[in-house]
Amino acid sequence: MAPEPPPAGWRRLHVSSLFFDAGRHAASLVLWAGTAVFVAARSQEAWFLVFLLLPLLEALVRFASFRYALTEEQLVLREGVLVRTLRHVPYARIQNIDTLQGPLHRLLGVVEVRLETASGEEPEAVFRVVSTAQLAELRAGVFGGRRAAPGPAGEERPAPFFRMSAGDILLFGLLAQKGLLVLGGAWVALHELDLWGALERRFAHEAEALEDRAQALDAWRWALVAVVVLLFLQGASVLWSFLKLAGFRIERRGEDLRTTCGLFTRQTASLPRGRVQYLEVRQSLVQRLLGRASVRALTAGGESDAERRVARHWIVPLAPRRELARILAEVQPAADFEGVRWRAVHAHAWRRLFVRAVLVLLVPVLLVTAYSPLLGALALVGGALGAGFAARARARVLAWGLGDEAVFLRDGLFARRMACVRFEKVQSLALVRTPLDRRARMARIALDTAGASKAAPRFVIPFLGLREARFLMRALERKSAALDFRW
Amino acid sequence: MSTDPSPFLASAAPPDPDPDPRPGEPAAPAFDGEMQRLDPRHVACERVGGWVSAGVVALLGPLAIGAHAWLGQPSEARLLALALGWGALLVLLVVLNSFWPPLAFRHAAWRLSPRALEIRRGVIVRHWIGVPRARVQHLDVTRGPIERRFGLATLVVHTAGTHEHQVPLEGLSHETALALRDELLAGPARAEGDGA
Repeated sequence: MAPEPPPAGWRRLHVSSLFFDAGRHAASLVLWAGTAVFVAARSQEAWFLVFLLLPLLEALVRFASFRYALTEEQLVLREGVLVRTLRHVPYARIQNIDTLQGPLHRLLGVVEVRLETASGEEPEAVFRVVSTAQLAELRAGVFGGRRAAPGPAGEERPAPFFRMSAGDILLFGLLAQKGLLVLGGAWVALHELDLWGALERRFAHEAEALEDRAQALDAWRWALVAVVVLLFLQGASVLWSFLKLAGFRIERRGEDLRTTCGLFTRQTASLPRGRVQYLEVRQSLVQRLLGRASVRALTAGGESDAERRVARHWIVPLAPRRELARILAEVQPAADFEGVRWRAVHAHAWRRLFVRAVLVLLVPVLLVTAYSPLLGALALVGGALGAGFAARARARVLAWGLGDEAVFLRDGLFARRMACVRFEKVQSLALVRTPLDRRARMARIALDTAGASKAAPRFVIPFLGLREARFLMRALERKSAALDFRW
Repeated sequence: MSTDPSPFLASAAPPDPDPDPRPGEPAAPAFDGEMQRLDPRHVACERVGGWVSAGVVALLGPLAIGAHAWLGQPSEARLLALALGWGALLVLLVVLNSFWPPLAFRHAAWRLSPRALEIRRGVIVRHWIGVPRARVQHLDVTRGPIERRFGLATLVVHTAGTHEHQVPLEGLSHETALALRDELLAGPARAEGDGA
């Protein structure tokens, strides 16, 4: 098993860990303190206040017992007092290093660090908190050993190859529709802290008056209210976007990508670009009209905290379409979407899409027909025409391609999606034929890759001609079997 | 349709000189890249499984209907409908059990090429699954009680994948499953062993 304490010597967390670790349990701490004070006051026994120190004591014990060391090949962690845990994490297994730095952290020059391997949802190691110098050392230790080019971390920063412009951050906020999220968060907070009830009691009279006036409002005024609410929601969404994404930049050091963003709480995510399991370029309809696109990459590390960590979720949240090729060349040279020789799916794929659309439309059309046969007939004709047009258009977009290193997929009628999986990252392959596929001599091919969650998008090429599907299956099997999988 | 031999074997291999290994005389597992049938005992094994579930339905149906009649005081028409439903389900299970296992058997096959393990299965939706040898993370050989009676086993191939991270291969003789497992374990030199 584990060799004895490594020669490099143990490192400790930063002293301010005491504060941040205790602060992590802020809510329970408040409860705890309240109880202690309450009991002390009721029983007239001041010594009960000693219990206030317990959480601090806990943080102290954790701080005192936590050690880590960087050895040649692995990161060694030691924690616990009664139950001692010694954890060895080989550098080669670490998928990414994420950091989180709030305003308080920045004031003290410290940072919260999470290391993740491919083993499930929880991070392998959480350093709450270390100094920025320690972070540089960690990064150099974990990712440095593998790199051919010596990249001394912490010295000169390489120029980021992409910075998100303020306009794009604004646009991202407008498109992200996070207003409801912010509103929901506020509502939950109000509810949790019982501020809602307090507000209700305080403003009961005004609320009633407001209700009376609301009943007096006419349609125009209602529309005005709706517009104001909408504006407010969008404003909240933009605010959210700026909080999360201000100063978004992505840079590359050797093989590592590093994204940084955040207005007050700054997040960074580092991942070796070789560990991208799946890469996807998405364009919603609005994004397409505005010439924008976003890039998403999946790694095998956990995504336990996806909402908080925008930095890793999106390689590029929003960028001008014309810069995409340049960005992708840095992020993943294999993902050369411009250079792909796209190949169409089966010539009759549109028929399948058409039938599918008609079946979906059937119920509403029947409902309309029951209401008015004339309208029903019109809806039938219109629906069929629309479905036919849409099916044709989507079948034209639907395409696949084989590159030297990766397989590609393009799909989407209004919102476009282009995906890329390198052969090295293909875990298993399936060629599937449903009865409908068999009738039309088609098949679909599905690739499975390592990924963080079940919710991850799937790589499926539908409606392939049978001969092409068999060819693709053989080719993929050959190409991916020729390469060893390295996380 | 239901009488022709397995579509994969028919074209891929010449008529099998030694078609069915008899029980108790394990077939020498061939990892020569040729398509292999499942063990023929798999059909009987599946049938027994089917009979067991049919038996459960046959027993539980009257019990449930009786309890309903006793406690719920339903109308006679309703009771009749329930009894008819139960009968229909039972007939369906029996009929299905008589022809489904051989059909599934005919459409299932596997082969181990130097590059990958290939599995084909599915009567209605046909699957052709490929797992490159270098992507095998670990392997399980599992055996249910009925499988043990028939000397069969299921090989479960685990990959680092997400949606299809375990690929089961049912209906192998126990010996074949073990040999296949060892062969896959020995597989091409892998850079890294475990992981997820």
